[in-house]
Amino acid sequence: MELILKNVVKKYDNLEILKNININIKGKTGIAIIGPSGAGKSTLLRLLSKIEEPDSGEIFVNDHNLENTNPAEFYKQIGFVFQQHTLFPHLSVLRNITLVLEKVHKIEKLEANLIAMTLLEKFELQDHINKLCSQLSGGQSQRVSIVRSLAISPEIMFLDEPTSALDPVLTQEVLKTILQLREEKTNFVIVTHEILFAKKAADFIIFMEDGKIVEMGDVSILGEPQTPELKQYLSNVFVS
Amino acid sequence: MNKYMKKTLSLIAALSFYGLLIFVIVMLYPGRSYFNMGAMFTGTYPKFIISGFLLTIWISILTLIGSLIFGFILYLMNNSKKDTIRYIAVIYNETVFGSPLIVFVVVVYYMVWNYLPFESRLYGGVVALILYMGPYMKNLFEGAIKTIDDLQFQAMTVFGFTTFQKYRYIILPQLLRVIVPPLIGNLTFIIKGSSLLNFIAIPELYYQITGIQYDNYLAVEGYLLMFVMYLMITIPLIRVTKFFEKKVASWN
Repeated sequence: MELILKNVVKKYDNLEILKNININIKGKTGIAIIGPSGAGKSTLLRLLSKIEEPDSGEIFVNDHNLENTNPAEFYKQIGFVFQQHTLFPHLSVLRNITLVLEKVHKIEKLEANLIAMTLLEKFELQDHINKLCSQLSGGQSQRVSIVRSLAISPEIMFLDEPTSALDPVLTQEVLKTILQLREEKTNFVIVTHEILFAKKAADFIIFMEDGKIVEMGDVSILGEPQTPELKQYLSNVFVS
Repeated sequence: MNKYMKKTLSLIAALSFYGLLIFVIVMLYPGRSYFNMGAMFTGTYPKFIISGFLLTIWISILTLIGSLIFGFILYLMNNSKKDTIRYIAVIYNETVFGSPLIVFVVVVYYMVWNYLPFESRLYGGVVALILYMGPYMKNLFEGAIKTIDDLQFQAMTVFGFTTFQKYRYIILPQLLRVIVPPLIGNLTFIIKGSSLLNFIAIPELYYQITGIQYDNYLAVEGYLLMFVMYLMITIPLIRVTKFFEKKVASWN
């Protein structure tokens, strides 16, 4: 995937959340955005997926210039997974997936069912196709959310701390699913606090602090951090 | 004895308790040594009772539809970005919540409807009920929309659903299920409230039966009949509500 950001600034009520962000990444498949809480990681992800607009600066995602892209058209080509699962509670697992395929992507019912079933089986969720999300565990719901976003074969999947609402066991379950994304060669950008996971799943790391990118580079920077901030952050994470 | 039989027996016991209570009240009524329910169904009385019963149902249906529309308008006004519009709705809601239905009906009918160039007494009463029920319906819409959380709205957007599709496939189906129980609750409120329209001489159930009582002096029988006929409408509705509440609870 290709991500280019030029002098991107985002403010909420005069408070600068993102301060002059510049990124130029080409040919990576998994990008992990890490950093302490309040660093602006989620905001950056929301700008990349055009859920929110920057106050100034330019953003290019693959060949879309986000400033003059129609949001509805852009959304059809990306997947977004939120911190909590966003399954529609009145629909079954299967219908949650096929509804998007049929109504937004105009795929025939039979084909939509086939796509959904294939994916659910691949991600070992085939036993739950007729359940409502109230009958699933938190981890299963989040995995279905991921599969639902994956079903539209998005150019890029954006995952915003998909495990932050889950306990350690369920977290592992969801992280496994995301590792599988990598095997499927799906491009993804993930905001996460799971450093070990980032090391395993991503091939590019962006470390943010206080609205700025402090360090970014290949996954090796997690082993040999160049800046004192990242060094400090990593030691804090692993001591505790 | 299994659990089911035990429950049935308890129900019978509870019902006999009320039966006994009614029997005692009827027998102790001053100067009464007889009970003649049959006399309520002689001559032209059944005709009056049935017409009152049907009118009560008709009034309730009209009020239900009218107050749903009016309540939705109040809901939109209450969420308006323009302060003046919002305050108009807020003041109206509080006034209604603060006033007894009977006072409201009489005031609307005699102080407003009478000045308007409409002849119909019936529609005057219905309008009064609609105006009173509006804020209750507004609350119902407000509560229902809140059950759909913000993340779901964001998710719908990021999937690229159009506004129409969002409402048609995701919001409305969810709203309908949460809205039905309180809606039926409001409907029973309307049915009960419609009995107050006898104060402005609309021949609904209460009015008709009191009319019969003045004619045959069977006060006790009349009131009992009145009770039974209202319960015949409201209790099935309450049971339906409970059924829907269980269904909704199962997917939350």
